[in-house]
Amino acid sequence: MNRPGVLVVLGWSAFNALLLAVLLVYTTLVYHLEDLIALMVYAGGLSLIVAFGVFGRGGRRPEGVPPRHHRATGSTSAAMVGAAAFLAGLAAIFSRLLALAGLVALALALVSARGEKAVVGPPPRPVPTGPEPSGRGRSRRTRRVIRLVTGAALAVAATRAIAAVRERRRSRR
Amino acid sequence: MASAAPGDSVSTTTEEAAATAGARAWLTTTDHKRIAILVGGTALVIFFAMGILALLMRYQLAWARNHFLAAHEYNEVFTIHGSGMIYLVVTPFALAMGLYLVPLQIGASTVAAPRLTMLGYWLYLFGAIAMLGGFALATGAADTGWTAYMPLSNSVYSPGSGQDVWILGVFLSTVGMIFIGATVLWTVMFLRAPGMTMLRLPVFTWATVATNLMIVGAFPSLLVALGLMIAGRMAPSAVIHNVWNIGYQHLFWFYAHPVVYVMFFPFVGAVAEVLSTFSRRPFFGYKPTVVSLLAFAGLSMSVWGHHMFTTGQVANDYYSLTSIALLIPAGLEYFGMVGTIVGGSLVFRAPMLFALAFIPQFLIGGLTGIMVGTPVVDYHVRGSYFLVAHFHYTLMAGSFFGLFAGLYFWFPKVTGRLLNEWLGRIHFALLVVGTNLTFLPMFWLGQHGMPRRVNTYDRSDGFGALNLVSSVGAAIMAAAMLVFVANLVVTLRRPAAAPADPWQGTTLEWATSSPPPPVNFTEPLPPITGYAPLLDLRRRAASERVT
Repeated sequence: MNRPGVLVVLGWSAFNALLLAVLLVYTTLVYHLEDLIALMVYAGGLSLIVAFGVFGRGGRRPEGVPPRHHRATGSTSAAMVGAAAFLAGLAAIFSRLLALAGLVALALALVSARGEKAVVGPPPRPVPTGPEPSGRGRSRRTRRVIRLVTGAALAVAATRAIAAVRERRRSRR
Repeated sequence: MASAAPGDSVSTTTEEAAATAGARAWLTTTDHKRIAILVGGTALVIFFAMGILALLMRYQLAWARNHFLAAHEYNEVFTIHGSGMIYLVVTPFALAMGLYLVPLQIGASTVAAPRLTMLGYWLYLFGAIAMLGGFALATGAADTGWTAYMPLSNSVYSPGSGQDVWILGVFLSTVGMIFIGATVLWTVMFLRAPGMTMLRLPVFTWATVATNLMIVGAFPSLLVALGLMIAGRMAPSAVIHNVWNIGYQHLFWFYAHPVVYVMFFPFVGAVAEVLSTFSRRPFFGYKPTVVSLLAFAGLSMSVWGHHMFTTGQVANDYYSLTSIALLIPAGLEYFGMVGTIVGGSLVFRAPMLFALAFIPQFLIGGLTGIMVGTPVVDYHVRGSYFLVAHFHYTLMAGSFFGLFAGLYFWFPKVTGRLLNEWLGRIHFALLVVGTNLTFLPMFWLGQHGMPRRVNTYDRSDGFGALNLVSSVGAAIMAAAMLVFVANLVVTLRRPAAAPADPWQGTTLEWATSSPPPPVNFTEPLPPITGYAPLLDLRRRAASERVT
């Protein structure tokens, strides 16, 4: 059940990779080396999404293992980490002394995190499931025929459009 | 007709309520609903502050040669208004909606990594304090616009700590948003209830998935851009070459274009849910809409260069092509929205009115976006009020109408109280008039050459009448917001008496009590047979009654 979620992330990354490839064609054929920055920025963002998907793929639950319900009992540590980050930033701008207060907040975060052990147990309720929503009332064969007809219609339309463009170009010449 | 959902009878017990009450319980919570309320509530408070800044600007521009604000004060006001609305209001509110609703819509009891999500809130809050705290500094707040281009934002041209605290504020709040977005995306990937397949996710959840994919991919580039800006402030002579400035713009816009969609997609999802519920039918064209949302989000990652056409250093053809290609998924989404209401049994409650107004108003923002995504038009209107009109139609006339549609729709779920319908309608009417009166004249102002970010103009420029109309519109918008605040106050003083499902909702959040208990569902969920399980349930019950 977890695989489709990961596939959405990786599929979306693949779509972006395609767009990046088109940009690559544009920049290498037409423009200057300064466009390399654009390619690097896009590739960097894309790699983050891929990493998220791959990390998700590694973290997914093996088949047959029941889901576990994790729940932390508090989030004081989060407030302390947030305060530590804020104080560190202020220290960089105003006074290094504030960094000490940030360190204190960080220490408090560590202490409080120990008291926020996650409660682990089964998820609240199993629920009944139903059939897939798509194609209700239609047999697999009917769906296949519909797909074939749609595909053929699209192919005819695309061929006619290409032919029309060619004809127009010829007439312009 | 009452809902047949089994969660109707569930309510939070008095003991539970007592154990989770109090400020400390709220500030150390791990409940995704409370974290979302904290984020959304903070964003709403900052929204009113940013609205006051907007009114100051409109007062300044209402007449020619007005000296209400000095030039440097005006620069600070428009910088913090723009930065605040984007970094601290619309983005956080959009994410807060997803954080609250997605676990409920997918039948999960919690969000993944709730402490990380709460850290996201704290970073956002401290970021907001840092950014707005700039006004308290002797040197004043940041005044380089929300884009803070280099070298304008380096320490030579922008000395003082105002820009530094702005950087800190933007950095912290952006990291916070990344944490919240990533945990919600992880929740959809791994914490769906059994039976909740990806093709049974509600449209709102899909919109949130697309949003969070953009956050994970695009938001970190802003952090790198800010790092570059810090380098520019620490060693301005070293980071002065053109490649740094163009590099900053690439990094910034790689974040800043997708963020527009981050501020828009959740509200499209909200509008989709509202239209479906108040048309009494499932959302039309579910699968094409899902594909178009993902394609829209994917394309949005590739269009950032259209903000840099006039630099002459980007592949204009490519960015123009991808920008215009956005019309295809956008058209599909519009087709889905219109298809849902055509032939439906429409119920015109306040959320539906906001959702219906969203459709044409956002269209104006979207179509003018395609115009400025075309280099020849962009060269003409660049840096003018035409752009101000365009993005305000996208964000204010579009996103905010979606926001209010969602707010009126889910308010009873969140608080257990229904907002007053008549005050809601007055709010709606004033906001429609005010929004269009404020932003429509800006198209003409831009077309006639009024540059953005100027604190005054001359009588001979001929901008006076349209600016006055725009400022009157802003005053009407302010009145609309006062009505909304009055509605909030009146409603929150009443006891929580809203039923679990006051609207005949279609998705799982309406199958639990209003407000939901800490673990979201205390009774088994209804069968998840599609993306509108409660509607399926009602229809099955109706057909069984007939047979």
